[in-house]
Amino acid sequence: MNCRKAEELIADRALGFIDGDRQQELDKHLAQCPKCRREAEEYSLAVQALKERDTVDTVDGLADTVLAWAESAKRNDFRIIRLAVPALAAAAVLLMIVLSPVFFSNDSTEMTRLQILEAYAEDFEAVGIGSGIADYDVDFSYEDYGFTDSLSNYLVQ
Amino acid sequence: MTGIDQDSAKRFHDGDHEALQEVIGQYQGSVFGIGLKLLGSVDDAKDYSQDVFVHAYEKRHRFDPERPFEPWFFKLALNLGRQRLRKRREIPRSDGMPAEIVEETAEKGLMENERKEFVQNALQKLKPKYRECLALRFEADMKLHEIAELLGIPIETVKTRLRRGLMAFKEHYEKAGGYCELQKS
Repeated sequence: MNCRKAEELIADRALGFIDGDRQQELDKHLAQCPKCRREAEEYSLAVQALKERDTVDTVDGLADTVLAWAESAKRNDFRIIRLAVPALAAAAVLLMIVLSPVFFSNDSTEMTRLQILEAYAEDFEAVGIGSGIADYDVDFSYEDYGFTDSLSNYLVQ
Repeated sequence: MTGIDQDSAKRFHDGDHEALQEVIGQYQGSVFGIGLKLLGSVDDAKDYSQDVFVHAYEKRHRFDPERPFEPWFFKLALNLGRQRLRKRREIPRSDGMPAEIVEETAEKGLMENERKEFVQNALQKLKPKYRECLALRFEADMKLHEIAELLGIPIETVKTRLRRGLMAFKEHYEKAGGYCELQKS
């Protein structure tokens, strides 16, 4: 084994994932290579430095800050629910009022041609075409416009 | 990894504040350590730790309480770390800014603080993918298969990243004079 390969094994051993066979191979090399023995020592010191975790067990104020935040988030959720429920109820009532003619009207949506003309009679009069609506209705025939009897049945009377 | 039990994880998922407190108590050291290793400064690591727990609580509904807590939690922590590193690249920092001294307690002494500074400086010189693996291994105490699962990479790749990361760390640490400090202490 050369020193370069040995260094890889030394790193693996320091990281704790060297298997038995490779460990034996490495031990043989280390027994005869002082340079790699020094390397091995430095690797274990490097891992020791990386493992040092005594920096903090508790981060000052972290728990208090996060818990206070969680508490206020919870309060905000309740506030939203408290405001949202009445607002949604009001919106539902308003929607029902707006849509009530659709649901509660018994009027047929079908109108005869005469009813339509009568409904707009005032507007027609205002623009000067109001006289003779009844005549217009009586005289009107779809056949004059080329529609057959059978088709006329499907058109507004 | 030893962590919170499944019952606490379920209560955390349901928004229980005692469970949140348990989670903070159990993982704040690891999260801070990961933050320190990834970001390299105490202030950033503290800020990051707070962010991790707030995010975890906010996103708790995405955690499946039938599954283990740690992989979900550390994945979230890692993603936040990556996000911060990305932002940092977008907002360049002045080079040569000294890493902060980790703990300024009189008992631990300047020497120990210096050594920690060397560790942080050496870590910051590594590629982020190596730093991530080292942080998960040494701060979150994760096993190789757990790191592989969390990062979505094969175990052999995790081993390679750890090995290369350690080799690069050792080199930078040596250059910074970290061994002299370790031998003195």
